[in-house]
Amino acid sequence: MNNKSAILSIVLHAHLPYVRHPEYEHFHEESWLFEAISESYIPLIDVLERLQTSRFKLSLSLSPTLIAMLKDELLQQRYRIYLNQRISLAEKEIWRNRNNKSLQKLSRLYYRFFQHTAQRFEHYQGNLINAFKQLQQNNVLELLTSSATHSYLPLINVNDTAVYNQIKIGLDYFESVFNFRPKGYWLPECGYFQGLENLLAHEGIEYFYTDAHALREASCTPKHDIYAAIKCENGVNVFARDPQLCELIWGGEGYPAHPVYREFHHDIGFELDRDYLNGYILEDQSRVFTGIKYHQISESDPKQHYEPRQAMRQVQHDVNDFIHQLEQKTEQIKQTMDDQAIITLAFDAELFGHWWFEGPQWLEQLILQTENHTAFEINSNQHYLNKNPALQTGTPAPSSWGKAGYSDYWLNQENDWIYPFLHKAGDEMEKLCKDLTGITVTDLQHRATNQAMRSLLLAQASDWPFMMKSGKNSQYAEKRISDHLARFNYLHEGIRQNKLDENYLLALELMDNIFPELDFKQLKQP
Amino acid sequence: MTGISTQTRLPNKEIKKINRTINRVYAPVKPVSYILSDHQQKLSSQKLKEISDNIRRYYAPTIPLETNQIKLMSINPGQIYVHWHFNQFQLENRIRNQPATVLHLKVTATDLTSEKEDQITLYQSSISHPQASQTIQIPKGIPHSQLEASLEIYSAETETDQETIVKSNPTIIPLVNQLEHDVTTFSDLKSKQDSALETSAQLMYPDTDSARPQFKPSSDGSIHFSASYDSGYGKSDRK
Repeated sequence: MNNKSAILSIVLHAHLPYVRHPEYEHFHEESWLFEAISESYIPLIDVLERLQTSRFKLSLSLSPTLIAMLKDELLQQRYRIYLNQRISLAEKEIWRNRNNKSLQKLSRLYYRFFQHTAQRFEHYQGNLINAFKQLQQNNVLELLTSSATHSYLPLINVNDTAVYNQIKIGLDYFESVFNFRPKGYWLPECGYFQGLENLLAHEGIEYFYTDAHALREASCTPKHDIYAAIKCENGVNVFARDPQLCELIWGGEGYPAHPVYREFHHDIGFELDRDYLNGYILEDQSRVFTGIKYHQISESDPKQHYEPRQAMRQVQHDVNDFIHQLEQKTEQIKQTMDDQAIITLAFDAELFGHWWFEGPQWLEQLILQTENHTAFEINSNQHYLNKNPALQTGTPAPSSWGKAGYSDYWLNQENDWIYPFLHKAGDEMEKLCKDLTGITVTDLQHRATNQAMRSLLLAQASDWPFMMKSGKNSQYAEKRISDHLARFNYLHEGIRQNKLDENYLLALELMDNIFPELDFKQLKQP
Repeated sequence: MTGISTQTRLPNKEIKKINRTINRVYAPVKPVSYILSDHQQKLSSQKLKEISDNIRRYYAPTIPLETNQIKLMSINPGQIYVHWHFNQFQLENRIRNQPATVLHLKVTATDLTSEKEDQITLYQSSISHPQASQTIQIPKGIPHSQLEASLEIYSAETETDQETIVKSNPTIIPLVNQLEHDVTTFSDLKSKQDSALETSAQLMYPDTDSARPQFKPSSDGSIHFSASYDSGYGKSDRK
């Protein structure tokens, strides 16, 4: 096949913090996962399955915490309960709206949507990892992963082992699930610091992603701006996302903000009587999202009812516009570049479906309509590297894709107080591993040290400082950090003083059951 | 075996026994070790919550007074963040012997573009709290550098016996610091070092060092949070 002028790489990063609470019969935050499964992961799997005969490849990063939750039997069981409740609520809505044809049509749509979701979920025996494996084997997906608990790496790079442990444990876990080690890596929040590439190379990573300014302010002046990768001195390749094109989809005024698309925030869970919603909202009567939303984004007051056909017409319009923008961009790049260009678009996977209900359809239409495009093809960054091995050498600049482009969102007055505690625990973990290396430890000490590592990793997730800064779910974030550090302290002290309670350890293993094969003795910093 | 066992169940009798033990051992002092013979049991939700609550109550994150720790992080091209913890006992001991003892925070930069490994002091100031944190503005025009922070202690009377207590991890500042501002050579900066140090107090942000907040555990876990997970997807402030 002839080289096209450009490869368009679409990278979706799927991640949720580890929200699994067996210590409660019901725990609302687990619904973050359930909403993402129903609204994003299954719709995206559907799209990719339908397109299996098309010529394209998407890149999908699955964070280790998400992989662990998708595989978890307790969460699978709880998701079934959640889904049955949605089906039952949609049925109830069909009856309630019996005298309103427009609304009843939408109630029926949700009923079919949830029924279909349940059917698809069971098709994969409740384990969506099976679907992703299949899609990867069918060559429509390039799978990537990220650090163990999605820690923002530049801010834990204060001792010798914290970053390495996050990288290695995440990759080992991915490999244990998918039976191969990915070549591409998603840096959480695109957070890069100089030297990180050495740890990635040590673990077999060949390329990773950054934001545009990491390349534009790299040690070399990039000849082709962000439309070619650069190669670090150790051979690891770096790609940068295209902020202008991403803005068309992810910006405040991007495609998802069109008035005919479905409004995310107007949900019957916040609109109907609590008595009516009894059983579908929380036991204390707190209102929650049910997933049933009847309105368009439209500015009119009251908002108009959602019209799926109108929304699909807009999807078509937006796809056409995007292709036009891509063509212009490719033409522009061609004028200064003889080599094949790479245009990288990177998004959170949950934007498609969860936040932008019509997002999966937009993606499907984009892939279908560009399949035979003469100027570009949708393919992976790995594919680009295979065809374009000779790259400029340089070191990217420290950066992230957060607001202002650096670490401000994860380190500020709302969340800076967590770092002394996180760093102290990191130092203690490092010292503990050193002290226990080469000596005989009891089985209990061995298990406890592994569990202490799990507690530390979970405390290091980037989600907690992010929530504290955003002000959303900040109480929950504080509690999670507090809990994981307390669990770490308990285990650390117990190991040091040889005062471990086996039932306590078992309880912690059951609650924080992530990375079951983690073994601190296998962690050898390069 | 070091893996997680999930295939077991704890009999009610055993749960009651553990409950009694916990009530006896855990209030109001920290738990001590006790061994149960049949421990490979699955624990109920209630039991898990009880254990989680106990651990949170007795092991809330703290930093021991004897810790000597200083960590440095880059916030953005213009700011760094330092938090430190000076050994309380060591400080008190020193003050007993030398009442005029002064604690100093110092940030140095090593020029990565020079083979000479020139080093200058970017910031230095006496600090009033042995455990605190501070955001520091980086002077404009610093070349591509690696920064390091350290805690020093000395006698204000003699200005001798200067001793570096602990050094931080090194941190490389983003290159944009160089690109955005007038580029100055490292030797230029070095010659201006004295005057820079005189005005170093003005570089402090927002004012003097602030005592680090205590860990603030929130609710007991019974609270649920009704908002859907919002990681910033689709929000312009994310990017």
